Parts: sequence; structure tokens; C-alpha cells
Amino acid sequence: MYEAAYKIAHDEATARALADSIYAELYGVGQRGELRTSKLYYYLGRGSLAGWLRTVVAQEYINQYRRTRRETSLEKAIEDGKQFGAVEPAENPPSDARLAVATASELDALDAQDRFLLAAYYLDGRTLAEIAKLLRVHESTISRKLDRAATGLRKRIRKRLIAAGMTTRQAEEAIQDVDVRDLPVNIRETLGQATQEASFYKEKGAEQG
Amino acid sequence: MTQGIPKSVRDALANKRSAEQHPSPDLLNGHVEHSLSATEKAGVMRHLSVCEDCREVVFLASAASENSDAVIPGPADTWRGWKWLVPAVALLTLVSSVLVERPKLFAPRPAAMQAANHQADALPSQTAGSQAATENQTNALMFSPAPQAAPNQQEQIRANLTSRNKTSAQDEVAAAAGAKQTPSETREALADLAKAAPSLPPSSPPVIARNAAVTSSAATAAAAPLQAAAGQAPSARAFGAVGQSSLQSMKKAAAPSGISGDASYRPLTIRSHWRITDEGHLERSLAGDNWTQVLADQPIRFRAVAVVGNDVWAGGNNGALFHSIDGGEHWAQAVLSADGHPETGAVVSIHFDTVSQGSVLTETGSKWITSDRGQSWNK
Repeated sequence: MYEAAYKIAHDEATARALADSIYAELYGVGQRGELRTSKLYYYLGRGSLAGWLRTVVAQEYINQYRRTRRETSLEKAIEDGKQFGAVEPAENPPSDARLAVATASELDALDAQDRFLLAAYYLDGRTLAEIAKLLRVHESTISRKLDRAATGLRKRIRKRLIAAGMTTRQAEEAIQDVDVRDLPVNIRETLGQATQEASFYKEKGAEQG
Repeated sequence: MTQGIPKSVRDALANKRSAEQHPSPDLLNGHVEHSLSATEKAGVMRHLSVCEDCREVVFLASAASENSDAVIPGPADTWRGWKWLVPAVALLTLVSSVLVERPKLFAPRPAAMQAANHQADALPSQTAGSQAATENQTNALMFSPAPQAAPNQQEQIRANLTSRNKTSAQDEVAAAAGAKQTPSETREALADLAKAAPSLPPSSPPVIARNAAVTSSAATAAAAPLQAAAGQAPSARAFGAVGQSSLQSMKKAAAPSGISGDASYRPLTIRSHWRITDEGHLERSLAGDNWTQVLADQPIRFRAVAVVGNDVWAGGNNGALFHSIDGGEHWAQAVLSADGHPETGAVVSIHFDTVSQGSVLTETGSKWITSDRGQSWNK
């Protein structure tokens, strides 16, 4: 169990704490005067006992992580320079309610596995290898499914937006949902081009004069 | 994946929350180990698609599994999974060949078969490429161990028999099953054999049947000419006829002891084998080398025996001729007589084309013919 905890936490102390905690729960804890209830009571045998223990350890690790994340000390926040950080921008609401409705509808209609793939890859940042290992398929299969799911979702949202009254261009722009800050514009190159253009006209005017 | 998902989709995915409770570790582990039912799997997948915490748990549990370093073979690597096939097939072939050859190598071989094989190897005109000819030679030699005087004639006869057996597979099957040959085929066989074997001179020494084993009508058809050919040898003790079906029966009987490894022989019903010993005793064997004397109470020195289906004919000195219609269980004596004169010469050859039509040769040169299964005989 310690090995499993170490593989999950990648830290010896955390792994020890995790393993001890799970041991205690397996032994059974209870209020005074009550019968001890072992965590093993909830093991119903859907998978192997070792796998169940690994899952319990992982779940406990996630719980501990979430608990400790909220307990960040003020000193550490100051050390990290949080007081000088920029104000978090408020979450911009969707520019068009039709886009939100279309997106939510299409996500609900999406297959659960495709939704899982999109969330794991684009939200959680899981690699193709990790997802492939979990689903026991090859990475190329995951890549293909992701591509198909994303493309299909985009097409269906656009179709729904057009059906809701948008033009094709509007639908494309809405789907793109480009933030100016996200535009991949090369400022140096753009400025360089402007400079060249100005100098060109300047030279041309000189010749004419 | 040339392009990701729209930002609106990303936000919608992140804001999705499951209204259900988190699955138990048991269910999550079952999902990781792919041991859930389809319904459970669909439910867990639906929850995982909207619950970041549970996704985290299953990915951590999956990464912590023992075979986390295992590489899942992809479509391009599929052939690597079959790499074991080549040595496995080679090993299987080797083991099977050893198992097949082992009985041949280590099983005790009867002395008669060994002697026959030695003599077969010594024959100068034997062709190595003809399996059937080799078998016929070996078989004939097994039952006629002294063909030194007329080897060429015997080989020619055997060649004729082999060619007949080869060209007519149906005849072979019919002979193996104890079926009757058509008279026309029998006449052809007799004509061929008569060409190969010159007629027996009347002054030839007496033919003493020994080790006769006859199991089919085809073999019976070959009996007389072969006996005649063998009888020309002064040192020959003569022999009974052995046809292809008899050979097959012998091979079948010898197969358990590893003598014959030829798998092309068709399974036959167990049939009795017949022979006449040096002392003139008529003996029968139902299987293997277990011979039992029959008609032991008769003071007859038997010299010829023939089998057609269940009918067995055996003849000996003083014109004695015995007939059994049930494979040798019960016997009745047939009387060879014409005009009140019974036959006194020893029966040296019995030949039956069918169950009812046959002929008997005596050492005096008399030929007795019957066409009613031995009820009456005409000289």
C-alpha cells in the first residue's frame, strides 16, 4: 500500500501518511461504544482488492490535496508575492446567449465517453498515453476519437447557431470566440511591415518631388 | 488534432457538475480494471465526464497500478504479438515428429516382419518410388520366404497386382470390404496373371501351402497363378495369396505395435487371417500373431486355403475340401467326385471369383469347377 501511495504522491512523507491513514481506516474506526466499521466493508469485489486499495489511496490523496490547498498560510502567500499580483479578471459572460445554449445542448447530447475524452484532455491536461492506458486502447485511437469529437462538436454547434438565426460568418466568429489577447499576432513583424510601408511611400514621394 | 475545442465548450465543460453522488472506490476501481458491467460502466463514464475529482482518482489509480509501465501495442505493433508463433510452430512440429516416430523406432518388431523387410531390401528389381509395389513385395515376401528360383516372374505378377490395385481404387475399396469382384474384372486379372506366370507343368514338385493368408476375393483371384509361379521353385514351399486388402488388414493389425506408420490405410473391420503351417495345419488369426488351429480333428494335411467374404475353403490331401460359410466357425466337407469316382489327388489350389463360382486344382492336374457355392462340382 505504501508503494501505491508513493506512486501516487511521489513523496515519501505524504505516502507514509496516506498509507497509515488507510491502514487505520481498514482496521476500523468508530465512536466510543460503537462497533468499529472497517473500510473493507465497502469493498464489494467489482475489481481486485489491490486495485480497490489503490483507488482508496488515490481518493484519500485527492481529499488531502484539496484540504491542504485551502489551508495555504498567509506567510507563504506573502512569500509568493500574491499581494502584488494582478487582479483576477472577472469571468466574461458569453457574448451571445445563443452560443451558450447551443454549446450546453450539444455537450449534453455528446456521448459520455467523448465528453470524458474532451474533459480529460483539454481541461485536465492528461496526455494521450494516460487516457489510452486507462481505456486500454492505443494512443492513436484516443487521438482520432478526440479529433472526431471536437470536430463534430464544432460543426453541430455552428449548425445550431445558424438554425438559431446567425449567419455563417457570425456562427464561425462565435465559435472561434477569439479574445484579442489570445490572437497569435507577431507584433514585431507587424510593426516591421508598417515601417517598411511608410518608408516606401516616403521614398516614392521623394522621387515624385 | 489540428484544432482544439472552442472556448465556450471548454467553459461549459468546466462548469458542468454532476448531480449524482460520486461513485464508490469499488466502482471506480472496477472502471479502471474494466470489470464493470455495461450499465455500470456507462454510469461511471457519465459521471467521470463531468467530475474532475473522480477523473483525477481514476487516473491516479491507473498510474499506480502494477503494470503502469506496460506498453499497449498499437495497430502497427500487432505483428510483434505473433512473434512467438514461429518458435511455437517449430517446437510443435518437432515434438509431434518425435511422438510419431518414436513408436517406429522403439517398438519391438516381429521377427517375420524384420526378415521380410530384409529380403525386400535385397530384391534387386525393387523400385524405391513405388510405395504400393514395395508393400506388395514386402507382404508377399512375408508369406513366401523362398522366391529364389523364379524372382522375375513373381515380381512381374506383383507388378500386375499393384497396377491393378492402383488403377482401380473402387475395386480396392470393394476388395477391402470383402465385396465381390465382377466376373469381367476377374477374367482380366486372370488373363494378366496368366501372361506373367507360365502354366504349371504337370511334373512340377508338389506345392505345399504355407503361411497362407487370404482375406478377399481379389486376393483369391491372384492365389492360383502365384502359387503356380512359386511352385516352380524346387526349394519353394509355396504360399497362399495375399491381396491388397489382406495387406491392409495386416498393416492395420500391425499398426499398434508401430510396424506400419502409413496413415493412408483406411480403417477396415477386423477380419480373420488364414495360414497353413509347415505341418499342414490350418490356422486362423483374428488379430495380431495369435493363431489358432482349426479342423484339428481332421487327419488332413492342408495345402490350400481361400477366403471369399465369410466363405472359407480349405483343401488338402486325398481330395479333401472343407467349406465354412461363417468365417471358419462351422465346417462342412465337400465331396469332389465325378461319375462315382472321388478325387484322390491333393488339393493344391482353390480359387473363387465370387461366393458361388470357383475352381479347385489338384496335384494330379484335375480342375474342379462349381457355380453353386460348392453344392456340386464338375470336373
